Amino acid sequence: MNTGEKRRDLAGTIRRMFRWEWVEAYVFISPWLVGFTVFVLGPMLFSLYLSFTRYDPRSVDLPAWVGLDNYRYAFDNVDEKFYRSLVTTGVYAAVSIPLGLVASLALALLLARDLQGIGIFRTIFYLPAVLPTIAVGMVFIWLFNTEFGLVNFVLQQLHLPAVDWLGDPRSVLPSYVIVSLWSVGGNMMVLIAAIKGIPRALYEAAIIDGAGTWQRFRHVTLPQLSFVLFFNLVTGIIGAFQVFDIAYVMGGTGDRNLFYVLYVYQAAWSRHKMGYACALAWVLFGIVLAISSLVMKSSPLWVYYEGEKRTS
Amino acid sequence: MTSASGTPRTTTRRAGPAFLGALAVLLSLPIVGCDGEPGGPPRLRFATWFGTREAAEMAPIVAAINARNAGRFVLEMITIPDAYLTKIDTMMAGGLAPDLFLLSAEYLVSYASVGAIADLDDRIRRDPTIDLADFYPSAISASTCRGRLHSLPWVMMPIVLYFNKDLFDQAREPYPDATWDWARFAVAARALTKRDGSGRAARWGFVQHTWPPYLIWVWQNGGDVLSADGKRPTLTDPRTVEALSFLDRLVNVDGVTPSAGTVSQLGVNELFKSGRIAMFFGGSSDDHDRTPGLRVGVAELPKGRVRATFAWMGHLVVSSRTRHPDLAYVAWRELLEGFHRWKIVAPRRSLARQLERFEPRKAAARSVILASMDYSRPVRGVVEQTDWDGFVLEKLLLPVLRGEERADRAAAVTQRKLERILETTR
Repeated sequence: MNTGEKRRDLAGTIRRMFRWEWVEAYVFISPWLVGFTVFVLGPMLFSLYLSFTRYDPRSVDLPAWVGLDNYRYAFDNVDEKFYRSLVTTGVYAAVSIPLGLVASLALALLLARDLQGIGIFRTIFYLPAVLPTIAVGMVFIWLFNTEFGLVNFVLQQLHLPAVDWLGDPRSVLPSYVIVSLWSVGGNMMVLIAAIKGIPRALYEAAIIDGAGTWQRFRHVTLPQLSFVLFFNLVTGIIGAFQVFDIAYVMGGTGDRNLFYVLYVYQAAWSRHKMGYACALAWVLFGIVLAISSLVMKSSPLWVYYEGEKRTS
Repeated sequence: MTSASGTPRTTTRRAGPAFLGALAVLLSLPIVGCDGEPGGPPRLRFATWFGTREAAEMAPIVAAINARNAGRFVLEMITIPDAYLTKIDTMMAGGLAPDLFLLSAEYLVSYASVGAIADLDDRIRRDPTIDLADFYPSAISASTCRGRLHSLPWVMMPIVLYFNKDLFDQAREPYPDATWDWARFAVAARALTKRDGSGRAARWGFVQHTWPPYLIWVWQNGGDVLSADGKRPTLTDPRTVEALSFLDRLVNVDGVTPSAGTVSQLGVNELFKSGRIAMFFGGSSDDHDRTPGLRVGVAELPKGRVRATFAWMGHLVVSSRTRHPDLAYVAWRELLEGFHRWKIVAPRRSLARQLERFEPRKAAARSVILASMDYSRPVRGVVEQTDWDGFVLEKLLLPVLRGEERADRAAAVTQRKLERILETTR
């Protein structure tokens, strides 16, 4: 290709790039594009920059570059609250996610049956999932009240000792797990939809082969639901590591409710260490990315798509 | 003309420029919405944490200042009743800090140290309308950071002892008075705590949680938590430890206070107002002595090695970012005067002596309040005040109040944490 042809080819490419359809396309996606750039990408990049600075939002001084000091402060065992919040969040995630998956699956199996009036029960179990977290937190503060709470009233009726749910350090985290289980309705609905979509022929074939109830569940239902469970697991992990509003509202003695994101908030707005808070946020991003990637990598081993394991 | 897919193109061809135009209008809205001062006097924004009732009471004061300064500036009150400091900090970060705002005394050093609030020392000392000699010395010390005045308090609230007369009468205990010491207080607290058949307390001698400030126990015993030069925490000093151990015994051995769980869920004020607490440490201007259905008396705090009580103070500060520092100072001075003639107790001796003029319902407590003002102290803030408060609560107060740790051990652990805080900010 000689120089003249190259130039013509380049001109053609530029003309194609600026075809009116392209302009129209960008104009129509521009509200999203502008919103994403201004409200998501921009703040993300700015927070990445701030994570390498010392910055007090009240100060008249500009952020001062400190390199990796904020990350060192977290990882060099200087900040014990960093590890404590990480452990609190990790334990919460390790307990609440499997329990939530099991509870939502059990409920879905019960409520996927075609019985008269079953829709009412589906609605009842789904309702907590659409309630605002703040309202749920306020309700549970009263339910967990040591003296007047409904939970302790029930325990006392069963001749069990009352529990100081949010006042006793040992029971703070279990309280949060209970609250998380209360709103498994969202996952349950997705699972019901997936159960309804399992071909009847698979069950009929299993029955002909002599499979019992457990075997049908183990070898038909569970594999057919694995992609939904995978989805719920990934969103559950992300959600568990982002617990904030419920902890902000419900509190808990000492800082036994010190979830990671709550600590990020405290670092930024109570301790005025905005640079450090940004570093913590990016550490969280790395942790969630790593765990999600591990789950993704493991998915070919246990997730079935259209009756087949994904091979890549 | 049609596109390659056969759909008419005239509509989309027109829609593109129209959409661009709409987008330009949309993006320009924030610019149009910015408040300017076209030709009129400058606007000064004054932020408070007041709720509806206090804001309504404050409004005439602001209106009077605006009337006196017509043509010079317009003062606008912003009320932020929830998450006050977080919103103020956010406004500062966004370059929209209010010109004047309220600040609790313990945070003055922290805000002054990062240059968030204006140094008013020269202006105040040059101002002929301000008589610093009239202010209580503790009010001046609470306003000073690195030897410079950054503010003056708009209110001063020493802690006094409210007591439920009915519970004292039932227990045949004499009412507290100025002769009481802390040993006498402990005797009364034990006598006033009543238990039911199962041994559970139904009412208690007093209540201690995050309120009242633990400092009242420390100070009355001649101890402190920060050295005089502000460079060293003194939690492990013998008198401080002795005072904390005394509190530890009252709470965990004598059991004369409700549990931390009960207090955190029901609230200290509510426990007293429901008639389940005999003695309550409250702010001098609080309305505990007007609790419906209760006969409540007011006394000074018992005396220890020294007479001391904690005084909460509220500051009015000028933002260092104000574009009108001279006018903001004028507004600050006028607001301060308005506060002193509205809120009790004014931190000025001349006005404190007239407190029943501003709040007739406190006439009966006048002598107690005035006596308490004389020996009341403010908290001495540090740069990392939030960290300081967090460690004191987490490592000292809660473990001791829950009976998980002895006072001396908890004080030693907390001392090390606080030393580290002061080291990092030195």
